[in-house]
Amino acid sequence: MEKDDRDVQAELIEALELYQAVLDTAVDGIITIDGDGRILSFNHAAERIFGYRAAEVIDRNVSLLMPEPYRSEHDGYLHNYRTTRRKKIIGIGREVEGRRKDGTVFPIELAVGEVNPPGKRVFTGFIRDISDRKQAELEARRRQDELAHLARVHSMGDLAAGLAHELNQPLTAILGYARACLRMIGAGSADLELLRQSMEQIARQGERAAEIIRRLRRYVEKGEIDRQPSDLGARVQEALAMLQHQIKAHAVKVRVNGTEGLPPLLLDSIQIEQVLVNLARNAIEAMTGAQVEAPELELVAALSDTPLGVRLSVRDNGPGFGDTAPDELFAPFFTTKKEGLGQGLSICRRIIEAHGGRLWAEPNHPQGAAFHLWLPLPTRNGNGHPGGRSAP
Amino acid sequence: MSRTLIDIIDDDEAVRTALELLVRSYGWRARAYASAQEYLEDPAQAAHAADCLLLDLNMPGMGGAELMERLAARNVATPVIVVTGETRSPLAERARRAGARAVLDKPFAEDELKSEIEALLTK
Repeated sequence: MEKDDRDVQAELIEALELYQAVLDTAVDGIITIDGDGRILSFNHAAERIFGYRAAEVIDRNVSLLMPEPYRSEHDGYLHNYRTTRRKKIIGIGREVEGRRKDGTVFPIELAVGEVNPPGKRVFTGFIRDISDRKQAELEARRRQDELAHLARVHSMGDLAAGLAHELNQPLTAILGYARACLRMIGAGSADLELLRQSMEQIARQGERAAEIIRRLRRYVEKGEIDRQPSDLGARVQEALAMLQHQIKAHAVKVRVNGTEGLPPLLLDSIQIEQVLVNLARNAIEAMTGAQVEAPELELVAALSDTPLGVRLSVRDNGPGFGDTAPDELFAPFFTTKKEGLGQGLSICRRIIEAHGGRLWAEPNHPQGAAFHLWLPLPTRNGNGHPGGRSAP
Repeated sequence: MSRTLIDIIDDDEAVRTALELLVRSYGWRARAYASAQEYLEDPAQAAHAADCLLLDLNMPGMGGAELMERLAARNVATPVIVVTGETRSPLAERARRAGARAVLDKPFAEDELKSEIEALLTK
């Protein structure tokens, strides 16, 4: 009998050691606490994750592994659970924050289970340090922002030629007036009234150049979406003005319809102009690239009632999409341009969707490409209606 | 012999007026036009050809290169100096082929315009 007892005891110890070994080889931190939050066990991974030795934390309140506000709230959670049995975290994984021995706070994924040995209540916490994953997510987001910025600057590069030309005009005028004035003064033949008029022109042309620079700066600046009541028709005009040089240079016939008298929408004007410039420029480049004889760019706006909003179509008579499914165009890094980053349309779609709208493409009839965007009318609470998921 | 006469065609009013003033400050006479059509339709221009034509390329309607080709077809021999923002563009190339004596960058350097015109006049 004695011997049997000893055997059972030995077996029990062996089993316990085995379970401890299993717990200690786990990659995740495993911590058990009692109903009052006192730590009962703390495996190797938990030691590694939090920087505490098990002996340092056993019997202490588990809240020492948490930063504020979790730290002061934890006893309350346990109390609530005891009285209401309402599970807030048990059985579900959740991203929370942990606090290491050295005081640093880091993101963890926490899953909590409940075991109920007779007369006791034990909670098990499975903890995974997700600092690396969070870091990667952050990095990915930062890279996205940078790409968006890069794409703007890049499309800026395309516009740079046009803007340089625009700047050359006022500069040529300023230099012409200034040199003429200098010569008149030098020759002693200065007519004061003529000098005054010329100076006035110099100032005016300086203003004109400054306005071009301001526009350029607005265009390249990175910014959060800032929606204000705005006239889509005016955005169309601004966008076309930015492309004026390309339109002129390639003798593109531009038709604009229905953009006057539209109800105001909540728009980030600069971003919407960026989208319009992108769509129109793509159209122009597609038409001129394919050497279309009479390139035509058409921008047509109309109210749409289901769902309530404004629809704007940008159509061209270029080569169209060929074998490409129109929706593929919106994938990041899709490009047909030699020097393109393939970000333009994907960014355009993101911008429109951030406005609660939709952007899609389809073949134009009888030829070319058509891009449609739909933007919601503002609702009474001042926000853009998120709209349906289907294309109106 | 009458004083040197320079014709200027540029659709940008500020550039056109500044060029006109600058040409006058060199002691020459100047006529300015806002478009190639206006230039072609001016009877004074038809009656009395200028010594030199300062021509912009990028203009709505008829561009500078097209005007040069038309003038060449009519055997008009007025020497042309092109003033453009894009000296390396296909349009500039077309203007050179159509016989432009010089293609100046906008904005041009100090006295570049004057020396180019003087070079034409002494030929």
